[in-house]
Amino acid sequence: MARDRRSLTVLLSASRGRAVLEALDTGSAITLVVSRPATHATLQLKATRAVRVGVSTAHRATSARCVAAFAGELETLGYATELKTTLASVLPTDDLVALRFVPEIVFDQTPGPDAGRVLART
Amino acid sequence: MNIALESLRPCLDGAVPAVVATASPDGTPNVAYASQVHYVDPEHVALSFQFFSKTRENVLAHPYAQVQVIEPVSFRHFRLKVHYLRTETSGPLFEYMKAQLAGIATRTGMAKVFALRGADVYRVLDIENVDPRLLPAPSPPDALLKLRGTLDHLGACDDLAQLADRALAALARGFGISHALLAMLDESGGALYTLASLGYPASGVGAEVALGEGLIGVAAREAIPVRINHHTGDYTYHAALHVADPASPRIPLPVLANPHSQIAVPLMHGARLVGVLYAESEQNAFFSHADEDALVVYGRHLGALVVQLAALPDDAEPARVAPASTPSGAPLAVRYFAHDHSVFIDNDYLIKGVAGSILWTLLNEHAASGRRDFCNRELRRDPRLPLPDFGDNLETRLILLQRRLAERCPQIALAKTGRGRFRLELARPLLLNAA
Repeated sequence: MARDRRSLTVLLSASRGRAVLEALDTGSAITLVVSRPATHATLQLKATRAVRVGVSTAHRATSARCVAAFAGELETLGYATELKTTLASVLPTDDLVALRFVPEIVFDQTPGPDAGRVLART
Repeated sequence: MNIALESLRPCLDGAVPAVVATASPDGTPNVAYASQVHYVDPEHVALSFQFFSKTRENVLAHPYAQVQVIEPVSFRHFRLKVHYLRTETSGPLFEYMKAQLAGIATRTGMAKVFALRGADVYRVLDIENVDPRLLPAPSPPDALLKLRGTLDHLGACDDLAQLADRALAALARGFGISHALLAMLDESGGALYTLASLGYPASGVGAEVALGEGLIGVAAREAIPVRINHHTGDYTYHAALHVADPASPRIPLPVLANPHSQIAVPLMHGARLVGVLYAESEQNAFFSHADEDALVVYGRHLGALVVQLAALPDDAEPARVAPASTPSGAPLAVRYFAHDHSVFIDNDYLIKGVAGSILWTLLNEHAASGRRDFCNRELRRDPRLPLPDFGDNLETRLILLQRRLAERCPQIALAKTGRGRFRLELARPLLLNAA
């Protein structure tokens, strides 16, 4: 999240996200869904466009930290310990692309009857 | 498609949540979790429709979506390009998904949130392996080999009683199943009764399940296999048993209070339902897709054997047996209630329905004429049994009666004296009393 709390930078694997990147290059809109496995708390953020930005050393460190934290949370839910290694190999830090966008609308996407409620919009 | 949909079945058991991406008519993408992606056949999957969501709105306007599923253990991701075809709100697919969703909902802490409104059926257009560098998950144990082992243990059976016991014991050997029961469809077609069980403190022989009640009842009503891989309160029988009417005696089903895996497969003979084989485990995800396939085949094999064994002719003469000892001691009070054919021995409930009616007829015949030897053929024709055509249910009803007597009243026994022949043996005198 940017210091002014207006834009987000998403880090994704270039090889796994090839289709997403191709769509964005042709002007597609972007939707980001983030979810907390332990609580299922889920947000969906949408924007009409996203731009690629350079990947910094800080981005790579952040990505590694997030992947490890995600694996750690899954482990507390009963997933195997080896998942940490698997996730690190699926989402390596040398294959990252950074996308920056300004969310225009944010939805609560936590599974249940309230999923789809608008939490904020510009 | 480069990848066969069948090979993705381990991804379609709800172990790891799937994700579905759709687009609105203006091109805005939408991404949501899908509770359940169900394997329908080699070309179709079905997604659970639980809420009126953006996904649903988008798919109805533009019927293309992408579904991402994850293989447990390996964590390989697969993306399925799919085309929405229709929504089913009743029938076998809907009932199967409803039962399975109950298991998924409990596992994910959503038991009170999830309810199935429909099964959205999609054609799978393409499958992409997102992680080709990752090794596939190790193959599960070979279900076909387990089935072959089970059939080897089953061996050749001469009669239905032997088949009922061996059918379950063979499952223990072949599939490592510790808890199972065999329930047969009754004459009315509206309920099933337990004929044999494996691995429970009480046998539960004679326990009934209404058509549509719990997993066994759903499997019977729809004539489909149903498998739940996680613990759920929705398809257990204990709640129903606690509110059972004390005026209407009922033998409790012997099942586990908190099963973590359950499977029910129909016993079929051609298109006709004969009964249901039910198995359960205290472990999560005990039964795989392939186990379900194998048990469906086993259910068809057992269904055919039941019909075949029941159709064998009775022996012409009873086998020679030692003369019975004369009944002695205080008489047993046998009370019969004609409205439901229930029989009570010294005020303890024994049995009702067809089996109760048979017992009452045999005891009266013995009291009137002193006869002890009977054969199935004469029972089929006996006008005192005010019941519809038995078909091949008479055999199984007699086994049920025999077992229930052995458990609850060993002073009255039906001893086998040949195929379709048995002898009434009484250790105590009886006082018969019809209400």
